[in-house]
Amino acid sequence: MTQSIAPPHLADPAQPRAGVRRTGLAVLAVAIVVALPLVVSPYWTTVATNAVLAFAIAAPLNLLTGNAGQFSLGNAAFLVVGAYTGAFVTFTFDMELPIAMLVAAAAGALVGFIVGLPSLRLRGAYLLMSTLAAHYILVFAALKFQTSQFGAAGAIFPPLRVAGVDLSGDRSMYFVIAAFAALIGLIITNIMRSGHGRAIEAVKARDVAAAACGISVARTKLWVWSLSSAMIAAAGVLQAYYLGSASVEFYTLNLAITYVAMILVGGLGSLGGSLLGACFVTLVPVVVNHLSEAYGGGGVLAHPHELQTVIYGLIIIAFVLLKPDGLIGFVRSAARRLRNGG
Amino acid sequence: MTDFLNAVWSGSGFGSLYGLVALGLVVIFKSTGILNFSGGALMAVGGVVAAGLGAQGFWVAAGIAVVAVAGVGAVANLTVMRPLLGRGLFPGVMVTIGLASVIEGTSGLLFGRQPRFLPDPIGVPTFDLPFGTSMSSTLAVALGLSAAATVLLAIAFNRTSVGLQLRAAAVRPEVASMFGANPGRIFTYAWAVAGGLAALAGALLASLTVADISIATFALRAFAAMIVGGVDSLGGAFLGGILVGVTEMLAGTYLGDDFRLPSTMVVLMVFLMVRPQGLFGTPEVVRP
Amino acid sequence: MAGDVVEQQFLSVRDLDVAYASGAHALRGVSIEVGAGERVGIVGANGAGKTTVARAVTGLSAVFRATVRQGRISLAGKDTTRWPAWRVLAAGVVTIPEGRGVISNMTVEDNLRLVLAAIPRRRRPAVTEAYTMYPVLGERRRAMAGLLSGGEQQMLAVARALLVRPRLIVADELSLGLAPRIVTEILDGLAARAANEGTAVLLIEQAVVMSLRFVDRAYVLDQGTVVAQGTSDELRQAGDTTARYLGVADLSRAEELL
Repeated sequence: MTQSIAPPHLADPAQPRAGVRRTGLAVLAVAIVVALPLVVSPYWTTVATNAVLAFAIAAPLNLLTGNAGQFSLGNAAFLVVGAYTGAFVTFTFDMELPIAMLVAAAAGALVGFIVGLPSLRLRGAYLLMSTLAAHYILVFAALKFQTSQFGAAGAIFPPLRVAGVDLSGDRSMYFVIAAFAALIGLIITNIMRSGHGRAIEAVKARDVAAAACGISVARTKLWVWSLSSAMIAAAGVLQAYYLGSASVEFYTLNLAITYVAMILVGGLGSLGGSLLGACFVTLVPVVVNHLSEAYGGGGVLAHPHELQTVIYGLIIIAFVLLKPDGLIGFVRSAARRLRNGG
Repeated sequence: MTDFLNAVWSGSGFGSLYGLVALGLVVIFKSTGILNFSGGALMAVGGVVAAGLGAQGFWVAAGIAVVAVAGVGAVANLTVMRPLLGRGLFPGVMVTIGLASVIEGTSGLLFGRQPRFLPDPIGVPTFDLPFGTSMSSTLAVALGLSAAATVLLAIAFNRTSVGLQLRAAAVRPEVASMFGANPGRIFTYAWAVAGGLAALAGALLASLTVADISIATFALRAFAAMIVGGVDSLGGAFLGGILVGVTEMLAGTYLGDDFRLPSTMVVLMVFLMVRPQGLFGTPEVVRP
Repeated sequence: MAGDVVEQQFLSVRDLDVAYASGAHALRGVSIEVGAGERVGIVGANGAGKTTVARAVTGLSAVFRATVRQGRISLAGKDTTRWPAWRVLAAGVVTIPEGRGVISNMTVEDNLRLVLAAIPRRRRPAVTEAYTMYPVLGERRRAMAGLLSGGEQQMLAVARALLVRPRLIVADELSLGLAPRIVTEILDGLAARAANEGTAVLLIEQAVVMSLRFVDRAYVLDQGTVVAQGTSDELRQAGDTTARYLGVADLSRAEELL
């Protein structure tokens, strides 16, 4: 229980080399991300955009759920809070995207703080239920806001322009989202390397132990709730611009669950895991659709949507039962084998 | 007054459906510690199966659906739930979410997604009640069946061997094991009961409105019912369901239909913050 | 000492290694044997691994996140090393667990009915058997078990174990927290029934002197290994080597400890 309180770099004597290797991997990842849309077709650029955007949402969720141990189903609600704050700021004050995202992040932090308050009193199933209730209450508030501000169809976003430059093309949209995702990744990496990271892990390890270590559990919890919600809300603005509109029907509980599935599949508490999980879960429907088209859509392939639903469920079950450390677990054991082999 | 009473009648009827699903959630949560997110899917598939057999009349169709979905629950426990015992909240919730997805997709593949209907359980459409109010006969049947199911379940928990072992496993799992409870076996019963109860709710809902596999979110109110009643109380789940249902219908009547689901979630949140052990639960059953 | 008569042993534990998921290595190469109808003790200081033996023998290792790494447990010649608790119970081994294992928010009668639930209906004894043995339990049958005194709870635990007509009772720290007079009363009752029905008893105790009075022979456990064994008399006469493991200065003069 308590051994995970020890900061990881103290537990790992091979830290400096691992650090170099990690930097190398990060450079490689950036190179791939930049080169990707120049190489692949527009269709795959769209898929890549979806995956990178999913990462930007899954990674902050992983910080909250994977690292701090706060299981939340509130992330779709934070997205809608972000999207509508962003829309309101953009339409009412005619602000540019970065400003809209900053204001949305502030709103997300505030709402995250409030949704996080029950975590000071509740744990486990009870805390999870409170996030479920918060989801529906927030989405309902968003519906009322939508009806009064944007009309029944929701908020329609204009093509993205920043400082007079049109960024609404497939490729430029991809680069904007990838840059944002990289920023999220950097922020989270830095947090986890700092003393805050230790405090976050301690919250998960055991509230009592964290208190004994002199870390204010309550403050850390609320700080993580606010921070992760702020990042998700900011991503919500970008997502709405990317989709061209925001309407409450989009922000379902199932959407919230999708991001939880991503961090489960990728690996809880791991930034690399968030990326792998986001890619994997984004690719599932794509692959099923391709199979369905390629094989003439006979048999079960005639109903790709149903098949996707079944496969999605089976993937979640399989990862919990067979690979609880997620895809990043495969990467880690492969890396270990490489290190031991050479 | 008429509006108010009508809302109370239909709220208790619908609430008793939440109560049925919540009973299943309580039986599972109490004995295995797993928070089951597949209750809605079990309910929905029960409705779809029953409606598919609609030509046989309500009772036969509902009976077959109950048995079939009880089987689904039992199989779910034997295959994917059993390895989860003692692994904590997150794995259990995620596997039941995955299970719900599998059930929904499979139902779509097997039965399609077109809405189906189920005949009413009894010939009379409505019962007249005082002050010029009335209640749908199906809702009255739902209320009666849920009350009966609650009582039967309470008796089963007190009188039968499996019931006794489930009760023991709920409070002292290691002691239950010491004295002969086979977790694999008794939890299969718990899952079968949960499946059967959810299917009954689904069949009733199918005859009230429509059977559709995508109505699983309807059963989210069962979580509110479970918390309001107290997670370790069977009678609490039933009464919690009715309280949630009445709240929902009153909100629908006086505030507008779009307030229905949110009002139940407000009730859930209020109870979590003020009285997490619910009306009839014991405070110390919190499983972190 | 009993190595060449394996066939006649009811319980045989051979070279048992048990480790907990936490990493603690609880038992190393423990071998213990209990013959049919025999009364055997395991004594040792706190943390010696006594309870781990009880759990392993009764099929509860997994429940307490322990794993049998090596070795073999057999009952009447059958390998039961990996059997779950309910199978071990069906094979005639019942436990009186450390801390009594009474479910405090169930009635006395329901606590007794819990173990009856595991017995096939046609062989199931009447719950009143327990009340014949300890009338106080009958008087308080509808009371929540948590409201009983410590001694009454231990009677409930003993009666519950005897209800299944076991071939072996594994009693773990039965004397803990009870007045000596009550312990003697309970042990005498247990001894009488056990002798009557040919039930073997494995008595696991920190209270050495009391334990040695009750058993025919005993094993001394220290840090997960058997460091001494012998008849009660042999162990009582043993020098301070054995006594040191037990945390007692001199066994032959330690009666006052009880």
